[in-house]
Amino acid sequence: MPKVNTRASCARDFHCCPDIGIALESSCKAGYDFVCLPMVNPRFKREFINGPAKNRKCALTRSDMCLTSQDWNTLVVGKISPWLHIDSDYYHTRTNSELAFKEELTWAAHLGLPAVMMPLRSGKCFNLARCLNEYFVANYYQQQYWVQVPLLSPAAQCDQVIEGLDENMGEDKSEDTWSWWNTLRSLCDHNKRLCVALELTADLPDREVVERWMSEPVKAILVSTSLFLTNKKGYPVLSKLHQSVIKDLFKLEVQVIITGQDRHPDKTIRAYQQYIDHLWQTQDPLDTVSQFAKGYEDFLQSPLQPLMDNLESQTYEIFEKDPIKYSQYQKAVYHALLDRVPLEDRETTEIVIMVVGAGRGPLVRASIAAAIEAGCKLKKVYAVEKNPNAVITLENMKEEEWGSRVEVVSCDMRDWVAPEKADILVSELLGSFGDNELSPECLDGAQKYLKDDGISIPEKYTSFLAPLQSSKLYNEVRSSKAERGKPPEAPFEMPYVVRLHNCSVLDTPKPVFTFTHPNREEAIDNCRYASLDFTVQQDALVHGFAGYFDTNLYKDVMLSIVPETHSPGMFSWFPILFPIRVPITMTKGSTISIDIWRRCTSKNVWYEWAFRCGGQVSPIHNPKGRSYTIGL
Amino acid sequence: MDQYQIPTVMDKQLDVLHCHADGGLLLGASCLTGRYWLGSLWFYQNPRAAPDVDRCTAGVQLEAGVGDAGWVDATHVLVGLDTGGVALWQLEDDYHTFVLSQAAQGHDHVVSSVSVLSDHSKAASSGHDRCIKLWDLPTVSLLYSAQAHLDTVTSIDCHPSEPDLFISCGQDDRILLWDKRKPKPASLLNKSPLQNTATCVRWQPGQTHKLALGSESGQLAILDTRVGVENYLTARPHQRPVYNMQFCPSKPSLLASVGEDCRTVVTSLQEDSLKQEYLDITHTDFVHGVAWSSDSELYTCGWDAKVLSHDLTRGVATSLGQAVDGSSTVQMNGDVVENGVDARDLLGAGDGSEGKSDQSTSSPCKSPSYSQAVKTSSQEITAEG
Repeated sequence: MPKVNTRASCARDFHCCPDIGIALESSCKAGYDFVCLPMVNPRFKREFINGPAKNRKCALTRSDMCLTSQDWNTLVVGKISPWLHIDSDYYHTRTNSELAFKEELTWAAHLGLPAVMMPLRSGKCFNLARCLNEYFVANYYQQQYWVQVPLLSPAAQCDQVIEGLDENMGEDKSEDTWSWWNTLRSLCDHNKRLCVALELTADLPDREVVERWMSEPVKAILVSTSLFLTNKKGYPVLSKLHQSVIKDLFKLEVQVIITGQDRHPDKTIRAYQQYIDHLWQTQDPLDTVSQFAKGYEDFLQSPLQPLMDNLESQTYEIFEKDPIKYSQYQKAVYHALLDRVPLEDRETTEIVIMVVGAGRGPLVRASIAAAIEAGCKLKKVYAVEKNPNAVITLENMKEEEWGSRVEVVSCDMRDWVAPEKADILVSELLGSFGDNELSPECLDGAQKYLKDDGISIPEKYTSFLAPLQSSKLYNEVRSSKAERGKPPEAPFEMPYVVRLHNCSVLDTPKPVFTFTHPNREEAIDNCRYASLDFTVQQDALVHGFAGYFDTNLYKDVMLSIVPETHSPGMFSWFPILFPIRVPITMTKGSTISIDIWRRCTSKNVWYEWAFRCGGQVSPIHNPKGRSYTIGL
Repeated sequence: MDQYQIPTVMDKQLDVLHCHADGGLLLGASCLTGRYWLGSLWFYQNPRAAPDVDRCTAGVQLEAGVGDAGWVDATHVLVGLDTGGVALWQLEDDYHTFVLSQAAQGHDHVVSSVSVLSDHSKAASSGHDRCIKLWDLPTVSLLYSAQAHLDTVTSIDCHPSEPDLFISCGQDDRILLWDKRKPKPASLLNKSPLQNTATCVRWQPGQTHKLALGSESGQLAILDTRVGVENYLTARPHQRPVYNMQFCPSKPSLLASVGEDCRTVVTSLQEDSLKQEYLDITHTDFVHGVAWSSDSELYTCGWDAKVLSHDLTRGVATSLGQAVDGSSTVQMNGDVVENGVDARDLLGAGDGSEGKSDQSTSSPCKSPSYSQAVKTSSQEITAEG
């Protein structure tokens, strides 16, 4: 899918706006898509408590008739007056600010502005949160509130001109502005209407700090004209570091707000917009996986249950398009054949391959191609498939292409009575979390047709977990409704397959459950339990765990969706998400533990999980599979 | 020249008021609501005519509201605009025309205050962009810029006699003492006498280390900037933030303060206490401009569109000129207030337009003490404004 936006969305910020018509017209002419304007004159303080000024007879601000309602709805982001100090310790200041805030938000709702921008000055934002909550509850108009947060705190941005203030305070004492935001949005209970407008600062925080913002609902980035350098031709440009932050945020489709005076007047204010658009145009092209995943970002899907449900033609088609997966399978079969059949026996030995869960036949095709490549003779390829619709495809393939060396078996692999034993058992039953589509149970059932020295492809797979921060996904889970008959917390007690996008993985993924095939244990037990510890490198809010898997198809022929070892270009699996009912706050260097169980009965399989961090202990999620099971 | 035409109406919010050396009055006005948020600059050779548009000596429309302005010398005015711009306007044509002399882009946000250095060669400005800036005059080229406050800088004041000293305060609760001779020019001032955030700072003329602070709770504090000198005086004459303060140039023990409680207060600094000498509550909206014409007369202006003259000896406040609306309401409100007591009932409201025109023609403001004050301040005009 092509990129949705062909150009950067860019706004011009005005801190004062003598003539709204001129402001809007000049910005549009200069290529800007919208403007940020104070809704009330920034110096127009009001008195609400008592005294003569309370009785001021005067319009609050300019009339809504200055613009058409369509222009207000689409072109204007309103800004809250800068003198408001809603969290002031002083009663009069606080109360006047609260009331003025309410007055301005009400006006913004009346105008139908798409968003209202307000600065976050410190972590002391409790009263601001209370006021916002009041508004979230009272007002059904779905306006967004963009909270303006600087990448570095004003204290860290200060010029070093004050005597006696420690020079090194930038490192230690400066506050983490993300924690301010975290306080506010936690007090606002992760309200979806609360978003971030990041303020790019001259100095930048550490790389991880910037990356953590990638997990937040960042809607805009404010770029001051003072950050621009001037190139040889006199045009404004940004430093490499600033460019990279903006390009990173472009992945979240953020809009850029140009703020501050025109510092390149001979090139006009348009030059900034043109430069931002240039950055947009010169983004790295999307890799195959991202292209494939376009439109699926952060979209929660219930994991497939191919055992219980029959896949549809479209689903098969998508998976068959994967450029990597089947070539890896072919490679695995090829090496297995080479190892199994010594060179001198190639002419004589005939091999039996069974493809269990053949679908529409891609593994049959890969197996045949591998045998030809290896110069091995195939006695038979059995294509076992339980989905009668896919069997129709297989029968046609046999007719048109494969001929008699392929035997199509319309049967569940666990029930099939095979006429002979196989040298190689090939299957693709893995889910995003490895075993979550019940590959272990299926292969345990099918391995009775495998020769004692036979090979299973895949021969081993391992699931992985890593703590994840993403208010977006947390909100997505929270807004899904529990199915009838399930407990209300059910949406938090099931894993989701999701293309992780607006999120940040907080530690390196660690292995969880491993299965090997064929399983020659006397008493096979596919129940598992693991307890894992993770450490975060900075303050964070854990919203869940990201799950991945890797597999050795045969020896070192691998498939992986673990970020560190991801098979390049393979898009068949998105990661899996295990949510948490209540997000867990973590401080830098602290440890979070997850206990996770794989539970099995003769009818179904499910996961249970729980978290421990500091003094916080979560309840066990999905006890006895009350909210989610995978049917056998 | 179109742009230098005198505007036809006075903007609603009167923010700036400064006396001229020869008895005139500089007025800065803004329009903070309505369709256009513009400002205007006015000069009245006869202060009694302010803020009557028809009787102004010079007037000019500005591109935006004017948060602060100040005399540089007899014919130049430095203006800080809501757009962030800093501009130097010249009064030409025998004070009858304002002409733009220099303009700089200035701040990245609203300019909150400007202050001209005692030697007239430089000016300081503060802004909502957390910056303080120093400007060369008359070129208005930027000499220095620093971001040492963590929030809006609300007020800046250059020292009346030391060209390297100035003081700034901000919404971040910091008060910074600046000395440009030091490698690290700023130092944090201990603000402990003040219970809340400072909103206004002003040096006391004739004193090297003394200054006045006004706060968001209406408190005033007089303190010494030297480390270790702990004697200070405080009072709380206002109920709301102090917006502006001016020491009387000819009698620096008198401090006039105005604020968002609509009050005008004169406090005298005594050996060990602050004594309230005068209180007026005639203004019906925020009072922003305050200027001494003599040690017995004070002008104030505010968002009620009124310019008041306060006669300290009689304890009487009189509304000047003709109001924006031109209606009789303001004249009716030209109330007389005596010693802080609303004297409306005692004296009646009959002291209306006739009384005012009397005053403007007889011009009692040209009292000897006034001209003396102006003369002495001709070198130190910044001390009063």
